[in-house]
Amino acid sequence: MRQVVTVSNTVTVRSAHLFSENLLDLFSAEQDVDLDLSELVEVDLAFVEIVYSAREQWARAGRDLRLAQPAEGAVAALLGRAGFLTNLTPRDLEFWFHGELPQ
Amino acid sequence: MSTQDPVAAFRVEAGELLDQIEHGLLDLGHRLDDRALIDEVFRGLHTLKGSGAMFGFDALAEFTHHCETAFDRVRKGLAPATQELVAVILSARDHMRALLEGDGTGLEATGAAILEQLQAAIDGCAGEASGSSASPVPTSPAGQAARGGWRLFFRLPADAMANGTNPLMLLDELRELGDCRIVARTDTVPPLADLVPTECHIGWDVELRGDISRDDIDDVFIFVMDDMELTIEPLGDAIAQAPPETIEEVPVVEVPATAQDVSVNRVPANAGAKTNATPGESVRVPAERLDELMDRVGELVIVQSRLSQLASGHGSAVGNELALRSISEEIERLAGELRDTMMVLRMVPVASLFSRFRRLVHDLARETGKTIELSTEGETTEVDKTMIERLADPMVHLIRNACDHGLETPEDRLATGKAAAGQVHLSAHQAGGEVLITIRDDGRGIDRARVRAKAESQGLIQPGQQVSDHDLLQMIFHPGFSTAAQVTNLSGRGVGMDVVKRTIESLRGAIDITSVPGEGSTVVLRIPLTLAIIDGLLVRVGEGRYVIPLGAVEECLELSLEEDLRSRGRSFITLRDRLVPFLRLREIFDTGTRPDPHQKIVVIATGSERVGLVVDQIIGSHQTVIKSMSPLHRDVATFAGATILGDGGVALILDVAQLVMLGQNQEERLRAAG
Repeated sequence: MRQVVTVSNTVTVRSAHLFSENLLDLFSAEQDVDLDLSELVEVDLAFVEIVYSAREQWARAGRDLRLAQPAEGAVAALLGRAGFLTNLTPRDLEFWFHGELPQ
Repeated sequence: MSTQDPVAAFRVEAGELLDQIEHGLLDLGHRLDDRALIDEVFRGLHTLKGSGAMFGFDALAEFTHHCETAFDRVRKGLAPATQELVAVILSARDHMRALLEGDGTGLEATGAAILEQLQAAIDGCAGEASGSSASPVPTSPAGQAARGGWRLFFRLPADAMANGTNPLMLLDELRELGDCRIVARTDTVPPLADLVPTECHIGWDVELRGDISRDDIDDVFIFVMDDMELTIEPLGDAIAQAPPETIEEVPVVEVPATAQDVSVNRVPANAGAKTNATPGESVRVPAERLDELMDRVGELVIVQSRLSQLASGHGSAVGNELALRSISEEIERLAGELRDTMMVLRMVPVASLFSRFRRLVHDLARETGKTIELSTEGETTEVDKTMIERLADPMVHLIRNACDHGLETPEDRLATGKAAAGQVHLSAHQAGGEVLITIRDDGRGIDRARVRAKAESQGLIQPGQQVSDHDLLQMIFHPGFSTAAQVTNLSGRGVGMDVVKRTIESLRGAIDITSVPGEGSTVVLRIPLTLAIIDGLLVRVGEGRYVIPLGAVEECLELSLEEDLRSRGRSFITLRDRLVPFLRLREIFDTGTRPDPHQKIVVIATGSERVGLVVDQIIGSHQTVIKSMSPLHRDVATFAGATILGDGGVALILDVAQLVMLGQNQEERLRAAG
């Protein structure tokens, strides 16, 4: 079963616990997840780290975690600023931008 | 202070940072070539700038940035540290405090003037850098620029983000140094189940190209370097000169060049500056003291549970009574221990008071042209925090007096065989329930002849009247009394010493002064350890109960009905051949009750002044927890506070200093009336 989870407003180091716990609940429910980031306004590295970490956990369990839409706005800017887009692997390109670099 | 208010927390921390900067500068004034001190001051300025900007104190951040830039030249050995520079940065530090405490309005001209002085101080001595006594920054390999650039790897401590470090800011700073290629590494990020969400496990490979010194890179990591993983190596020529590797980068993702361009958790500009400018009071408490408190509270909870069990139990009456008595004793013990532990939490080392005077003495030395050395002793002695705050002003006055009037000029000192540098010594030590703070100078001492002449001219003593040396010195505490031949900005206006005495007495303390001509003066402040709990003498006047601080009580006497009638209109008693005025509290408080047939006189004293207080009954000693008067009653001078008694009633605490003054006034009136 696949579930779309809307991540809204802010995920920073201050609210990271909540986001992480929500993801762990979904993992326990053995669900594949689509993260909808369209309502996300503010993020910091805690968000990116949790997403990387969750993606790894889902992959190890043979399940799927992906973004509902390609990253843009605050998330894309953060990835660039933090050096995640240098040496972008095909897997990362697929995950963050659905295989197609935004123009 | 609420932990919810980051701006208030910033104000407190910035205040501490400014104190550190000041201490660093004052030390630097004595050791101009001390590299560690130069680095310490620079780090302070750097932190203040960064955190000021983060919390919306833009004016503070901008001003500090200019100072940091100027001081960086000293740090890099391009200009020497000089006394002039230290003085200018000290005044800049004062300006920073003003910016921190206000909203910056009206301070622009002052700030600009200080920056001009700073520039002049730097420019004036920049040429001296290589030949001056100040040692320039050692030219270590680390200080040199690597040909072509550097390759770095860094990973911050896991708790860095939780502690407020933003790795993105560090990356931005690296980008500002030159051509920069940053690759994030996620290979050590654990799976979600093992991840602490506030921890940072991301590492970064960075290639920096350009004429960049190792120091520039170290500066980026200056505040996190101790705990982080960091490797820095020069880029080989081949790598440096080769065109950048073909890296597939996302062209449309614009990386903001500066922190200001991106969305960070930033308090709206000057939001802090517009809120209450007074930082909330806070006390740093060692963890073990909190643990002690927690232990006591834990025991109290257990006893409370025993009490509940007893209340709901069905034991025998005798058994219950024994158990109840045991619980009562236990609660009494715990209450005592809790009180003692709590009192200790409020205690702070007197060092926090003494350290304020280093700057004062530094400035006084510059203003008077004297060489003054300040030494301190017993800084670890602890006093209630409130006491520290209230002692500051009187001590400023005493130290100013010592520096301005007490100490001679270097020429005069040399002429009398003294060292050119005058000494001011501050010391503190605990004696029983009191702390003794001593201010001693090795100056000329108090001129008795001048004190006597002044006292005679003010009518305080008759010409030629025999006065003991102690009483003569006490004259300087009389309102409007000053023997200073010259009124300066610092002291000598005849206001102050009486205020100093009153302030110390309002703290239930006392002030003593001794002086040896040609050798100097010593002022001793005797103050109680705390203002929160006192031993009191509980008395009854009419139907009301009052507390007299026990420390001020000298003795208690019976006032017989005959003596009361005989003394009416005079209100004096003879105590060991000395007339002591007394006040009938029943009349002052207008109780409207008849006097008790066995009235008592409680003789209280401050210094050498005595006064008797007539009360109806002495109830006994009482551990008194002092509560402030309500705002409505704060101006009632006769009372220092209130306390709640065991039966729930309220007793007012008498203000001994005020009552003694009242008694003295009464004595003067009666004497004047003949």
